[in-house]
Amino acid sequence: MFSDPVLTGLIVFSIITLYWSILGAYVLFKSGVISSKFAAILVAYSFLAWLTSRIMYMNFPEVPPHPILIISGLVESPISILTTVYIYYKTRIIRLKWIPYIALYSLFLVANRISLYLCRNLPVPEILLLPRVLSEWASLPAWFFIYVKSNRIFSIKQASIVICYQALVWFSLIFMLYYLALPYSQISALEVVMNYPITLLTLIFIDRYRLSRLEHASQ
Amino acid sequence: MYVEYEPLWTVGGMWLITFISMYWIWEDSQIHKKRAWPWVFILMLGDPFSTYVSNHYRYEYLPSKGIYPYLVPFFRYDTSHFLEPVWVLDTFFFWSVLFSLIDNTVAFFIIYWIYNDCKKSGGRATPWISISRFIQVMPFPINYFFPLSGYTGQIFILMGYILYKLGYLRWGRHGGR
Repeated sequence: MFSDPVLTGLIVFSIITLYWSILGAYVLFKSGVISSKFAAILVAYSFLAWLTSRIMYMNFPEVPPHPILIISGLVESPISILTTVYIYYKTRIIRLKWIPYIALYSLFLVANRISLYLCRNLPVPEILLLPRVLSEWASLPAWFFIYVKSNRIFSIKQASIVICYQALVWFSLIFMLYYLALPYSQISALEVVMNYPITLLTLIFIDRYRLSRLEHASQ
Repeated sequence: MYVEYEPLWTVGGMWLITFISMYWIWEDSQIHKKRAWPWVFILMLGDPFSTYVSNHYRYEYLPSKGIYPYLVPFFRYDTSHFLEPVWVLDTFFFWSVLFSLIDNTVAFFIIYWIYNDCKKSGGRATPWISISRFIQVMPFPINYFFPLSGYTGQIFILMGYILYKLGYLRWGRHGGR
């Protein structure tokens, strides 16, 4: 077994993945966040999410990397819901109807993955821009549904400003790539910084909404 | 040629640790009716410098060496070509994997203990959880000047919390209460 370093590495990494999954799910159960049944599902899901792309890489070497990205993106998407929207819902920060939200989110996910597939033969790094932009724009209905419609975290005017800023960020990335011909490494670093205002604004508005609701409830 | 293997060498399951610490921060802030955004924001900073370095390595440096990690349509994993067991064991297993396992386990249990203790005593856990997580994911150059991302940093957090609990540390006008 140890003569094959890749297999050895994967076995060790799978054990560690299982360790983190069991530990995380156990503590979530112990602190009353999830039930025991959901903890078991979470362990299985967490392990399978990690395993899927590894199976793809190891067993289907003739498949180009993009289908691997497409499938692993689909498998890993519940993680982004659990670590954001589910937390807000469970801690009673927001109210949410799950069926319309999941429907809108699935729409965004399908748009994201189809665009990635359609652009699979584009030269890199452009491929990293277009599908991501399409997916971000497709995610706006789900974002709007949570932050504007279901919960008045942003007014229509404020939401429009946020959306315009996101569009501006995208245009500036395209401008940097095609007109300024900056290397992708510089663009990606600048993008991290350009996303700070949106993250900050969203967190401040969620906090303001949450605290106003708590004050209202205590009166 | 290690690059082709790179996507394989990541550990899964760590997202549950992010999930639980974020949950505790928001839950604690709800209970105490205090602001959460500064504590959450520092965990969402990312690392512009590391992003720059990793993408420079992938998109500018590697193609000049004849390596295109993103354009390998018919790449086949023939392990006999690239990796030697000793090299893999030395680099991944002993150092990166083992230390991250120890560091993160220590950090996780310290955070869990502080969370439980605050719940019992009615204290606020958010600053402790947030700083404990932040020192694990500090962006450059903060991590350069404060190299506390390992379990040593967590021991400082634990000592700080115990000193605070015993009344030797205070912050704010009213001692943070």
